[in-house]
Amino acid sequence: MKKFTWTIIKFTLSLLLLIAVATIIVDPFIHFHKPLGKWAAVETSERYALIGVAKNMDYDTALIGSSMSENFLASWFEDGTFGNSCVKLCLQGAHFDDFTILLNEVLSHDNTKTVLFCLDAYLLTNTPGEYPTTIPEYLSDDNLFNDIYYILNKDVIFEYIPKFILNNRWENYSADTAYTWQDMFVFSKESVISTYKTQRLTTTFEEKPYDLYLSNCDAFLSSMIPYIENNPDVTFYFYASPYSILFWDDSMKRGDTAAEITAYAYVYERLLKYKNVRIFYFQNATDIITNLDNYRDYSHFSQDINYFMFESMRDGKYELKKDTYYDTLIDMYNYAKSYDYEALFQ
Amino acid sequence: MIFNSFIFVLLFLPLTVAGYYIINKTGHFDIAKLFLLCMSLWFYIYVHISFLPILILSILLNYGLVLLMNRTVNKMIRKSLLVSGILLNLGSLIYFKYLGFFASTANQYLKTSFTVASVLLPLGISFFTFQQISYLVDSYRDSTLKYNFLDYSLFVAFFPKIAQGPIAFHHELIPQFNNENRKQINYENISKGLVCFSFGLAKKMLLADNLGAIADWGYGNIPALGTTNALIVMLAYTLQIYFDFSGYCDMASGICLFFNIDLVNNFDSPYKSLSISEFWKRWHITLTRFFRQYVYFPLGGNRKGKLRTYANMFIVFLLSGLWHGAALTFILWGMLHGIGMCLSKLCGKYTSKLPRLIRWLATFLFVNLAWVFFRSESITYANIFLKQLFSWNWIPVSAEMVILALPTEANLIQYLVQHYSSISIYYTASSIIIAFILFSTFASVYMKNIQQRLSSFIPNVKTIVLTLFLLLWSILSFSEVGTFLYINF
Repeated sequence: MKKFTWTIIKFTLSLLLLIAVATIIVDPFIHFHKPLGKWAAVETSERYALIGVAKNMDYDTALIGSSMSENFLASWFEDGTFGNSCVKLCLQGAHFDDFTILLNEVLSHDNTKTVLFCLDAYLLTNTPGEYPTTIPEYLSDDNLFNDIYYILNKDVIFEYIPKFILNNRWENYSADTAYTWQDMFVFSKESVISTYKTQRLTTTFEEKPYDLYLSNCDAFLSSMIPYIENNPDVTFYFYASPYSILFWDDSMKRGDTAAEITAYAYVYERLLKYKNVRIFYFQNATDIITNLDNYRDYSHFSQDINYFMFESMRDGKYELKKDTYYDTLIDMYNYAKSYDYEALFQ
Repeated sequence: MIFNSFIFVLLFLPLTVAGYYIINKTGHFDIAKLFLLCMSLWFYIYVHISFLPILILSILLNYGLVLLMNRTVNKMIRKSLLVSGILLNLGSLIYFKYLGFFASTANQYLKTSFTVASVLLPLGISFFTFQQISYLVDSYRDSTLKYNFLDYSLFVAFFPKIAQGPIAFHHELIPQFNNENRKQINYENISKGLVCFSFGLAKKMLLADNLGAIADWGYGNIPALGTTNALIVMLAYTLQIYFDFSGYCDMASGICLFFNIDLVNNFDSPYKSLSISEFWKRWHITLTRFFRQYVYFPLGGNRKGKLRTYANMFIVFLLSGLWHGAALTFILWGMLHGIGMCLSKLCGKYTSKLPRLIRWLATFLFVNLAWVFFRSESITYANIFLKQLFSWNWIPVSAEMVILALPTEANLIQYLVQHYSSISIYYTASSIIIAFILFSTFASVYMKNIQQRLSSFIPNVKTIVLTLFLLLWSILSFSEVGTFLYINF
């Protein structure tokens, strides 16, 4: 019986130690170190791995955003215009508390020269603190003790270590294509319209006060501006993705358009005061947003559109300046207000 | 603190066991008990420090009342002290657990407008209150019953059983704490304890939690279930609650064995039962025992005629339902079992002639249907669930449920199937879910429970490998990678 007891205890502790060491060595979430040898930071679990990528990879350019930005390829941004090495830190459904964790890490790197930040509408309209971060604390903090949740984690051992190894072996996977979803969806007008119709509001609500979201904007700016001011050598690119015309249909029906456009104007006015900020606005790319074959739903577009945004930012097109941002946004408001949405459903 | 956590398994438990035996070896048995009490209090306040004053007050109050009772032979005074004690214990339970429910029910049906501030429910209050009531009643009946304060405090606060029971009686535990033959390390007990704890942990981590994911999804999407999904969800909850609760009790028993303490058994394969009467001899045995001894017998038991017997039985199950939770659904669940119990007694001599399979099926079905009320948010939702179940609408297994509830262990299989074949993910995953439900049902109905396994315990290689496997797999399940659902962005 004594032998039985000590056999169980010794083997349990030894195997746990072995598993922990194996996890530290393979490190599929890039938490402790860069991928070893020929391994790359291939796709594992976005929400769990990206903070590690931000912490341990070498880069001078960081692309931060939501699912709108997932189809970018980091390699596009490595031609010298933005920098020479880029990491893509894009999280589906991310809110600002997620982005602050990533920004803190990115901006703690001395080599960071460029940050490209996707300024989605919901970041300006959501109440601050409404959506706490979903990035696990044990991966984003400096507490070594709680790393036990990573190194003795069933999912990491049974799923993500094998996935990490397999994805590094299979030809279709690379760090560059990690977390893209271009091949998983159908992009067609018919599909988008038929899905959107099922959720389209039947009533049009009264237009909400234009200043509805300004306090949310203040909260956003109070978090974002310190990053800009404390990193004068880093260029911040803020870009607004081209949601489809159906997004504006929904916005008009909810009575939100004036308030959303005002929110953008309010934020842009403040951001444009800084020399290290550049703003790119793609929401008024009318050729794109009215061609629903570019979309999988009312806001998510195909990878071609991501490439279009990259090219535009590289070449300085669709950039807003202090003397142009206001008129551009007014034009967008008028366009959204006057568009014949019903024609889309005929 | 909870049993299924790194801090408990890798720090608290080894520290407590080692500390207990090291101190006992020095001959300072009282200090060893004090050490155990302090560790139990640390275990308790790890959840929330505000719980501690309530526990301490409860212990002081009950112990003080018994001290006063033992100081007098006056029956009136002793009875008054007993009644006060029972009322104080029940009063605290009502305050923390039921006041909000009573207020909202009165507001709904009697059109009153009571408002009650919400209070945090102290961990284990339903259990330690009943344990202390049993001590009060037993002390009233037997004035020679005397324990010192340390023994009594340890009995109430002993960490393996404080959170979820079982409702152990004082005379079962306290003599064991003081038995000098139990003060040295007993490797047979520790070996059995390891097996017991590993099995319990596996029941909780590998079965209950995965079944819970299915049940949670189902009870959050009742109107869209159809018969197929309602059946899966109903079974999932039936199995979840069994593996979760009995798993906890197995762990508690295993931990007690580390200290050479034999904890009373609380489950005996209840889903093997052939009648409701048998079910309650196998399910939450210590609760049934408490109600029988301290409610059913004082009400007259079966000594006052058949009608009174059935009425007493019904009252016991009504109270049992209420004990489980502050909601009408729990009361209705209790009433259903009360009716089931009465019918079981009434028709027992006829139904016993039926084939075993029929009796098992009828009992299992009854228990499953009653659990629907126990789990549902309201009676209305329970009724909608049952309508879905009996709608005969055999829609496909829900893809959303399958994605959410697929055990981690199956994710890699699915990933490989997706990469190397054209078999649909849905087909693979739904097959895994159904196989998992079937295995869990088989395990609960056919496999030996831990007490049966321990009675024929042989410390061989097979047992080592199985124990190690379950223990390791369960510990690794303490931490998982979450799944997030996103809307729009």
